[in-house]
Amino acid sequence: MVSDMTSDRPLLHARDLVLGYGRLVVLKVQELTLRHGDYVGVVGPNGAGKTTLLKALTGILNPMSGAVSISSPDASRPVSLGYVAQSTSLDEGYPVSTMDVVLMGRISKAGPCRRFGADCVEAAHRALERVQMAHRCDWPFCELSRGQQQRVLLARALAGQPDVLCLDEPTNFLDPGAQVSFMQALDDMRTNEAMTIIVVTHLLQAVVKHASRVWLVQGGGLRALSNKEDIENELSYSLGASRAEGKVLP
Amino acid sequence: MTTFLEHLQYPFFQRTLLACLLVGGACGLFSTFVVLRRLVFASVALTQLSSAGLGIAALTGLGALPTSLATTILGVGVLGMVRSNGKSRTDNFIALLYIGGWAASVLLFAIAERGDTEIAAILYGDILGVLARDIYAFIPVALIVAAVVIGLSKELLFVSFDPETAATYRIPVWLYDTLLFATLGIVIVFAVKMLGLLLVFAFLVAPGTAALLFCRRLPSATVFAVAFACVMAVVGLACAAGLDLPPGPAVTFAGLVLLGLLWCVRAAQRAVASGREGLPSRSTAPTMLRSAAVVLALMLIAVGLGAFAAHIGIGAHDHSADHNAQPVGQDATSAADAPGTGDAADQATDYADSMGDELPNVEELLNP
Repeated sequence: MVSDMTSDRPLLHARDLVLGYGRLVVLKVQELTLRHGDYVGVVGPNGAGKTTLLKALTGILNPMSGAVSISSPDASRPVSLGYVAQSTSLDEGYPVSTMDVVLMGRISKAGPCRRFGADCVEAAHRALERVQMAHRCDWPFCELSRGQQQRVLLARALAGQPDVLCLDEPTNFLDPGAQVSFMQALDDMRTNEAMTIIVVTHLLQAVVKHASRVWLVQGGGLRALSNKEDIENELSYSLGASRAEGKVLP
Repeated sequence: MTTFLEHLQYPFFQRTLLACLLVGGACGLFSTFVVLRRLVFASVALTQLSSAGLGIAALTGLGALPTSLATTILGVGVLGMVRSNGKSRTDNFIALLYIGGWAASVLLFAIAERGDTEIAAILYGDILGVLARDIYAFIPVALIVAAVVIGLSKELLFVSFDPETAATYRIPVWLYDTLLFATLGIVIVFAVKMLGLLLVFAFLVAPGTAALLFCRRLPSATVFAVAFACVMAVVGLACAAGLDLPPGPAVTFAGLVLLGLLWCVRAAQRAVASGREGLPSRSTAPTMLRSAAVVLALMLIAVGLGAFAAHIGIGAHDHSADHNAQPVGQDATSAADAPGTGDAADQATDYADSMGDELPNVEELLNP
């Protein structure tokens, strides 16, 4: 299925990107291409610019120069993105239930000034079932554990049936067993639903095992690795180098 | 209650009640967002800018509504720009807006020679002098607020709860933020003109705070906040009528008392629930009580020091004119006839009496 959907035209293309905040340049990327069905692992030491890159690709952050172009495989509709942010910097005082949060992922489908329809609620339920959180659908979001909240946020991203799923350290608050099964579930989604996935993570073994490509963000630049041996060699090298510099990749 | 019902026979009191319910309802719709988004001080800064607009009107003779609207919308624009720039210290800018608005309004009214009385009317409101035309003008504003808050509730919730992710869904976060601030600003302009800063601020903060004590979803929180604002208005006006109190502060204080009662109920609920489940209490009541005790002790010390200073003769002669709006028991005709002016003559007499020999005789100066 993945091969059927993969076309020559890239889903996402970026060129001569300069990313940063204010006057501070964090990352420079000469060229970057993402094809339909890719499972990209973005790795690198803390502060290298992984999250900055993801924000630029999702449109949250405007590049200082250069541009990101996204072209939909289906000309009749734009590419839909699903995004799960790095840490739950969400205000826990908000009066929202688990279902309310997941329904936010259907907001583009519902349209403005309209209530969420039965199809939205059904899609939200399905998404919650996929992350094993359907039994908590009426719970206040603030009363869930961090790990559960993270799964609900993933369900929100899935509820919108995205073409591209962008995840920023999604396994942060999950226990080790859940981390492994989470990465496996992403691989299944890519295989079964032809979803394109970009995941920022420090789980290097999982990246080597599941990702089709790796973007190594380091020293203010980005290197795209696609060959399995390259990935293993580079990651082990980078890991060693980072340790030598005192920057340990967990 | 009988006194309240008796007062309801008077048209001016009916207008007062209607104005409180309308403004309370409109502010109640916003209140949850104001509290959740930490816009409490932004809203008070906007109310102050609105009064600065009234000061410009007093000075220039321009219409009060357009000038007040202009200064408030200017504040909304500055607020929007500052908030969109994540690096800025938003609270500092809000404080500067507030200070600027306050200073400008005092200065403008002073230059316009309408000083203390007018400022007092704006601060505490002249809610017994609400005119029918002000109420008619507020009805479309209340409807617009209801349309925005109810119609766009899911978008406003998303951009408030998680603006970063909302942006990835191509939701124009800045547009919804601006819409929220602008609607809030318009409500403030119209409401302050009728009820004064204090009461409008109370209606923007207390209902949302109360709603978030109990409600676990936004729709129920919004309904709760509106209901709370209406109850606060009725209870406050009933107390003002029964006890012959200034109505604006009475409604504000009623809101605080009701909020305190609800907080006690919530704390008791939590304690009971924790006890039933055998869990350590999550209630913040003990900490709050300890904090309150410390504050009370500090206040007593301050009062003691003040009394001691007065006893040994430190500090100047203190006088504060009664700026409050007239009590409910005042003659209804005069209340309706003199909106926003207060009792200027009495205040002037009080002031002159208080200054005693310090002031030269004006007539002697003019006719030596």
